[in-house]
Amino acid sequence: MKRVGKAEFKVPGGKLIRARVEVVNGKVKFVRFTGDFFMTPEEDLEELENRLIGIEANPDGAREAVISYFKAKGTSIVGGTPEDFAHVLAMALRSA
Amino acid sequence: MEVWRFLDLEEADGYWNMAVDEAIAKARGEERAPNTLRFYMWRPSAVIIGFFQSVEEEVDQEECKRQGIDIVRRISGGGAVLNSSGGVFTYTIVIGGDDPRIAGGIMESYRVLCGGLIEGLSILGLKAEFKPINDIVVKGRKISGNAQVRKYGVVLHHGTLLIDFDPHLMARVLRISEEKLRDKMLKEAEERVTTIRRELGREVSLREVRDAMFEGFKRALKVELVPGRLSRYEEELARELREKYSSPEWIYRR
Repeated sequence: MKRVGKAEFKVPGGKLIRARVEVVNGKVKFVRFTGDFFMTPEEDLEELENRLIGIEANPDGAREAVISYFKAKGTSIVGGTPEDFAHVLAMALRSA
Repeated sequence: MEVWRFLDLEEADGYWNMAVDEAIAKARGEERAPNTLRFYMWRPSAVIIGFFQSVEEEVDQEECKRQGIDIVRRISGGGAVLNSSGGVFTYTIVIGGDDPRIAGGIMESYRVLCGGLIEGLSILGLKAEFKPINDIVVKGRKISGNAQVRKYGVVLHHGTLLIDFDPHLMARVLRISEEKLRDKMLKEAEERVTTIRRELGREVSLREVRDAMFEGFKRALKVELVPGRLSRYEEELARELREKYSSPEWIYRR
């Protein structure tokens, strides 16, 4: 059974981050982050979204996955932090 | 004094405008183009969304169609803007990634590269300030939005300068996030955005704005600006890139 969720978060003093998710049988099927933030290299976001496919749709676990991805890649984000992206994804999963 | 190429005001559609920016950046990265300052305008009007935004979330597509407004995705991050034909002056800087002017980090490089507009606005008699992350404000109201992307080993920095605008049209074509409005505690575009005409309280010609900004960038960047044109190579790249920018795969990729 497919469930969808979405959330948005305006980072105080930063940018807007949105997440849309699809969950099938308790696993993440699709993730899309959008917003007016800046990220270098920009390819990292799509890679993160792809890596999240198949993980358990557990907000805490997903949060960890996002933070550890950005930390490992050293992605430069302007207008938000890895924790902000993790927070939005966790909210979206809770709404699914 | 260091010499930069200057590409003077031209008016084109949004797909071409964004293709030219990326073509210059790519050529600059391959050492086939010099550091460049470019001024340009938009026809037809276009909504330009940031690289990480979604058309569906940011734009009223039906309204754009009714008004004949293009929807364009740019290569840089940041937020959606309405670049109205004749009302918005835009500029692009392409600068080598190892340039000392941008060595102080991303935030500092915005401040430095936005310096040209701030200097240009002061020539027009307006006191403008840089407002992190990427805005320029006059009396607290946004008059310019700017965005950067680091790619091809260069920094592509581009931005808008409002000469005149229709807040009602902007409100109709852009979907402003509820969250964002709450955060800023501002409801109306009129309260948070301003224009050169409004601040000067008189009509201002494009030529006047162009001349002030030309002088402003010269002073702020401490460079000599020599009028030039796109190379044959850049033109070729831009023609290819225009295909990308006008394709649904690119426009609707998020």
